[in-house]
Amino acid sequence: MRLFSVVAIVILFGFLFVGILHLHPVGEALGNSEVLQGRPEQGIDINGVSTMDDYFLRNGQIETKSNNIVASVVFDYRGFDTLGEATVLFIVVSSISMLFFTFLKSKSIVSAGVPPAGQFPKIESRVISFGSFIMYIMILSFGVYLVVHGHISPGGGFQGGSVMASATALLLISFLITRHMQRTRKIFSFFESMGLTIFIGLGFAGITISFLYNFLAHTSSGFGRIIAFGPNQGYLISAGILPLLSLAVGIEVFFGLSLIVVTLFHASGVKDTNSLR
Amino acid sequence: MSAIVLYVTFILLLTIGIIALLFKRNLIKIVLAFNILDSGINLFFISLGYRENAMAPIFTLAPLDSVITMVLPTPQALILTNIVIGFATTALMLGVSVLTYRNNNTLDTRKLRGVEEYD
Repeated sequence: MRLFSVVAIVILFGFLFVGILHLHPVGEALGNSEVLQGRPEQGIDINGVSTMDDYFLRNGQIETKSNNIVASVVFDYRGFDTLGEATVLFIVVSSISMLFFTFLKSKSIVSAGVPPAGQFPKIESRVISFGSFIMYIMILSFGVYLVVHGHISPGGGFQGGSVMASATALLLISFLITRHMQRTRKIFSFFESMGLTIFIGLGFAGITISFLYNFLAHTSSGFGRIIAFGPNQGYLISAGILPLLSLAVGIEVFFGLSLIVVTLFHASGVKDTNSLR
Repeated sequence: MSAIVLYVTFILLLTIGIIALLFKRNLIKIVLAFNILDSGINLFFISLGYRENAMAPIFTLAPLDSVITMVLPTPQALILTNIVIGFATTALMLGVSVLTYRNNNTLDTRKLRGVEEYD
């Protein structure tokens, strides 16, 4: 049986190795490598386009008014796909809450080192408890920056939400929010559902054309600001509904991942195992 | 040779992950094997869309040269969401592992199946 597995793995390895020899070499991706070469100032350019990525690079800034082509692919061209991924995240968070449901309802949760209300924990040093409180604010600000500037610089809802969720993990190891677990879970699950609802609501707002239609990008002021094609300094109010969708996804990812972290933290700190059986 | 070194790394990561999935008995190590597989697939997608001496597909404060080369945006957009989904599914698998350990006092998959001797 073991010999059969080894032979199967060797065959798989060989197939993969033969497969990569037929791919293009790393660093020479397919398509037109000169992005702006021979591109007219106005209108949609399809003359220099040979692949899908060429189309996104040459026309993404005109069509979605967003400087960040990755953000325009995530939230505009493949917006429905992103809705599916946000739903996967929602279902995972719901599954974890469901798995630990009976356990988190029980009153006899014993967590080591939980401080009395309104005090810093005695079991940790002052450096950890107070320093993580300061770092919490700074990490949260950085995450909000990543979410809000998602359409003009590297970042977006998914990355910023993950950064902010790491701040929640930092808050947990300093025992600052362990006393308020039930309230924390209710607040987190409410805001997580709200993020997904905002995403779907923005999708239905342009339903007269199609689902997730970028309706704000076709007005000529406000979020639909007309930006010249090519490099520019970036405008915060631009790109249609992309910043709003990014904000919705940021809220959902932040509170969803925070809920996962809080639930697993409390599941690992319990002493009473009888409530699970 | 350096042109395919990223692809070879991808194959090695994939093979290590599959070997660990098949031969490891500990549930935590199986979750780690899933993570290694995930990393390999992410590396493969990103290296498919890489261009030499190119910049990120962002026009904010880009250089005002006449020729601009950019890496492909679609693989980055796919991997961006895949990282968060990978984190979430890893958390789900670890949660199931925690409950399994609480109910059975073991993480060994062979013991969980009730098999005494197996080779």
